[in-house]
Amino acid sequence: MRPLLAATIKLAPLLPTSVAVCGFPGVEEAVSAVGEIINKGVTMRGFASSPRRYYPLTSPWHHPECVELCDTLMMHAINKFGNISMDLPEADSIFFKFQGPTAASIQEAVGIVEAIAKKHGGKDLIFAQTEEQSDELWRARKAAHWSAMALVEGGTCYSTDVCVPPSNLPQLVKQTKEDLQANGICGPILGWAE
Amino acid sequence: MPDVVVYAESTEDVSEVMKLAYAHRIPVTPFSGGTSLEGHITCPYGGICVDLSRMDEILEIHEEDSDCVVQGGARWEDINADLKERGLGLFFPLDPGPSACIGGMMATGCRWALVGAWAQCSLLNCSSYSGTNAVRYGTAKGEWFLNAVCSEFSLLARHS
Repeated sequence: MRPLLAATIKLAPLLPTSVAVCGFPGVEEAVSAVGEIINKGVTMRGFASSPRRYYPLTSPWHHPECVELCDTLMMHAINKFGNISMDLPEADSIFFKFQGPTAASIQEAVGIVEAIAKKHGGKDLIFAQTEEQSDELWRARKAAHWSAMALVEGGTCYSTDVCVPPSNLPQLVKQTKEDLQANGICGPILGWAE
Repeated sequence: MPDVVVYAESTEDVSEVMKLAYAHRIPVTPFSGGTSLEGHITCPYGGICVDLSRMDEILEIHEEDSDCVVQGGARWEDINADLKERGLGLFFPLDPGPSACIGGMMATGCRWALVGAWAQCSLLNCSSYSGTNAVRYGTAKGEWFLNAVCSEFSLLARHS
C-alpha cells in the first residue's frame, strides 16, 4: 500500500440549481416518496447531448442532484443550531436540490417531484429564494451532524449506515424512529439517496 | 496512536519516509482530512503517520477534457472554490463530509486494493465515500477518479 500523492479527477458542468424542502406526515411517507422519485427519473435531454464535454452518467435516469432525509428531530437541531435565517418547519422532511441546464428543465423536474410528494402526503415545497439562501440551507444540511451533537450537551454521537433493498427502506426508517423514541434515545435521522 | 507524525510537503518528503519505513519494516498510516468513518486513520500498530494535508494544490486544469490533477491532500471544497473563482463552469461533484481530501476519498471509494492510502481501509466498507450529490453523480468508486500517483514504495497489505 502506498500513500496517494496526486490524482486526476473528472469534473462536471456546473449547472444552475434550486433548493427546496418538503415536509411529510412521517418518515415512512417521506422515504416512500423518494423511492418513487428515484424510479421515475426526470428527462434532461440537452444535458445529455452536450457535444463539447463528455461526462459519465452513473445511471440512465437524470435524478435531482441531491435528495436528503432529515427527520423532525434533525430539523429541530438545524433550526436551533444550524445558523440559518430561514425558520424551517419541524416535520419529517426531504431536502431537494434540483439541477438542470435551463430553468425549464428544472421546472419540469420540480413538477414531477411535487406531484409524487403530494401523492405521499407531502406538503408544498418551500424554495430558497436567493442563491445565498440556497447556500445557507445546504450548508446547514452539511453541518447537520454537528447540529445534532449540540442537542445533548457533552454527548457523543454514534453514526451508522443501513443497507437494505429500497422497498424495505420506508418501513425500516419508520421502525427505527419508533424504537429510538420508545427507548428515550436522542436519535436524529439523516439520510441521502444514492 | 502513531509513534511519530511527519508533515509531508513534497513527493520527496513522502519518498524519504517510505524508504525509511520500508528498510525498518515500520507501519505507515497516511492522513489528510481526518474525516474517515471507517477507521482508516487508526494506527493499531503505531509507527509513522504521514500527514499529507500540506500537499493540497491543484497542479493542472484541463478545461477541454473536463478534468484536473490535484495533490492527495487537496480538499474537495477548496477545489470547487478555486474552479468557481476561475469561472470555468466546472466542478467536482463528489461532496462527502466537510474537509474531506481527495486522497482519503479515493482510498475509501477504491478500497485497500488500489492505493491503500489508509492502512485500515476495510473490505467491509460499503459506503464507497458517498455524499449528498451521490444520487446524481454516484460515489467515489465510480468514474470520477481517473488515475493516481503513489509513492514509490509498497508495504505489506494489512487486513483490518
